[in-house]
Amino acid sequence: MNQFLNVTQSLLEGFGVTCLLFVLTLVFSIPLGLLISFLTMSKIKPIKYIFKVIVWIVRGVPLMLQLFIVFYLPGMLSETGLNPFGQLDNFLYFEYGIDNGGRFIATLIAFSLNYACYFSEIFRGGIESIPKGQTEAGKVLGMTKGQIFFKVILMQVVKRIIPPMSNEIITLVKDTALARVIGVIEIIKVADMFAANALIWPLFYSGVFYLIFVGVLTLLFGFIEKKLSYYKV
Amino acid sequence: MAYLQLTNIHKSFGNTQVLKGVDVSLEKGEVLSIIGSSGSGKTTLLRCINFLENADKGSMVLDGETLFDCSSEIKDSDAQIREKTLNFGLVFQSFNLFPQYTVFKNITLAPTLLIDHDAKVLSAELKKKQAEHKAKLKKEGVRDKKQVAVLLAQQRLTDKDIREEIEYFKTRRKKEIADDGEQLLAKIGLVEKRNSYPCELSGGQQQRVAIARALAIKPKVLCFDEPTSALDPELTGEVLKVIRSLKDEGRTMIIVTHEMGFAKHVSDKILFMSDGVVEEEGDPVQLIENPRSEKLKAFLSNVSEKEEM
Ligand SMILES: Nc1ncnc2c1ncn2[C@@H]1O[C@H](COP(=O)(O)OP(=O)(O)O)[C@@H](O)[C@H]1O
Ligand SMILES: [Mg+2]
Repeated sequence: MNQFLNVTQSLLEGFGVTCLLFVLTLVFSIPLGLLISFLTMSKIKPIKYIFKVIVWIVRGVPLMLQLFIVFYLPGMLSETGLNPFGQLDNFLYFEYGIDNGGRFIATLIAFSLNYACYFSEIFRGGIESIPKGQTEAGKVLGMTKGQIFFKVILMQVVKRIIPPMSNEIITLVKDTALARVIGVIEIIKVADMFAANALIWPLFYSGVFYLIFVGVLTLLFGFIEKKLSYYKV
Repeated sequence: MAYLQLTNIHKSFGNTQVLKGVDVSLEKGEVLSIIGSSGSGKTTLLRCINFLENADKGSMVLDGETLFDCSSEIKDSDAQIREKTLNFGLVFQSFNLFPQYTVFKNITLAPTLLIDHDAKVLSAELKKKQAEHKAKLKKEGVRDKKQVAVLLAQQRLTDKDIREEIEYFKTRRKKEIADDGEQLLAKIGLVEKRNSYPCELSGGQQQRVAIARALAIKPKVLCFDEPTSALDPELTGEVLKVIRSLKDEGRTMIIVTHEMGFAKHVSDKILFMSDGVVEEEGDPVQLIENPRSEKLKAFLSNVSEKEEM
């Protein structure tokens, strides 16, 4: 029993890191994704194509590889050859007592960029699927471009993209496990450390945390969908 | 010059010339119907009038004000175009109501969004008056700060007065817009649908809301692009009835329609477009009963055949 409580507590600590990574990734990737979606729809051709290529690369390369690139490349390019994220690790540890802070930030950067690109395609699809008549109705009524987007288009887009977004967000929950490859101690890494000491069941047990988290998200998205069911787009 | 005067409007999309020199003139309170077969450029003409397309050539004057003149070098800013757009209302064939808003909000949204802009204009005006008054007091040699404040207050021009004035303006506008909204609902006979969403309405009801929404910005000219074409035949009547009531109020309107009977009764004049030009134009009864051009004759017989089917 004591062992179970110990394991649970350790896993919860790892799960805290998982959740923090999940939440912060969403906080950064959603606005960035919206910005990228606008850029890929830009009337200025070079901008449009540059960002389409970026989206293609980011979506085309495994996220794990992107983690390695974000984590190692700056150090390889720097004159001193020191990994800035490693230095940040040390700095955050000695100044604030935070473990693995630099690695966490590297992970957050890679995740935010990666998910921003996925989200941008969902946003673009959503925005382009709204009939042109909606924008035209706004124009004829003297609305500004900003008013048309925020007052007319946005809520219709939100309604349309909830199903693909919820898919992507649930994938993100599980993708956070990749962070361990550059040494972030998230829940699976914690469980793995028990396994290294011949205690295997915490690995299986960690799955329960994911299941509960994804269950809560599923309920949340269902609730939002229901909330928005009063209108059709 | 007529109240609304379009002169020599040209419009091409790529290599296809859609409008090849169209003239339209309309007096205040008149109703003009535009008829013509599909592809003749009727929608494009309405879109040019409503600033959804830029004409390549030609000009438009409304009530003495030139709204566009393609021969001029000066290009209007987005804000100027928005201001000009407000002179016209457009009712679309496919309604284009905002699905996420109630009927009432659909009607009141656009005027409500204009409040902030109008408040800014008013605020700038008052600030200017304030600055002028301050300059005047300075010239008269009033130096004492307290005295300046007292004299400004007498003119209701202190910063606080201006803030209050703006607040008052906003509150008053909101009330006016709400009152207008209720009146428009009554006019289209949908008071009981005030809080319904577009998806809960029939096509005819949706189009009536679209008409109210267009009226809410108080346009000088209201345009309709085949307002009943997307409706089941039994629903066209209610929409045409609303349009007829607008005619009785003396509104200036341009109606693109395939409803010949309606056009004949409601219009002051009819314009027949064919292949990007005005082929024939004149008194409704004359034009429909005694068409002169072969094209109009062919068009009318085609329409009546369809109606008989
Ligand atoms: N945005 C556009 N791009 C290219 N061609 C267009 C566009 N809009 C209209 N057209 C063409 O212009 C012609 C006239 O169209 P329209 O004004 O819609 O006619 P109507 O309303 O009389 O049926 C059609 O041949 C149509 O294909
Ligand atoms: Mg048309």
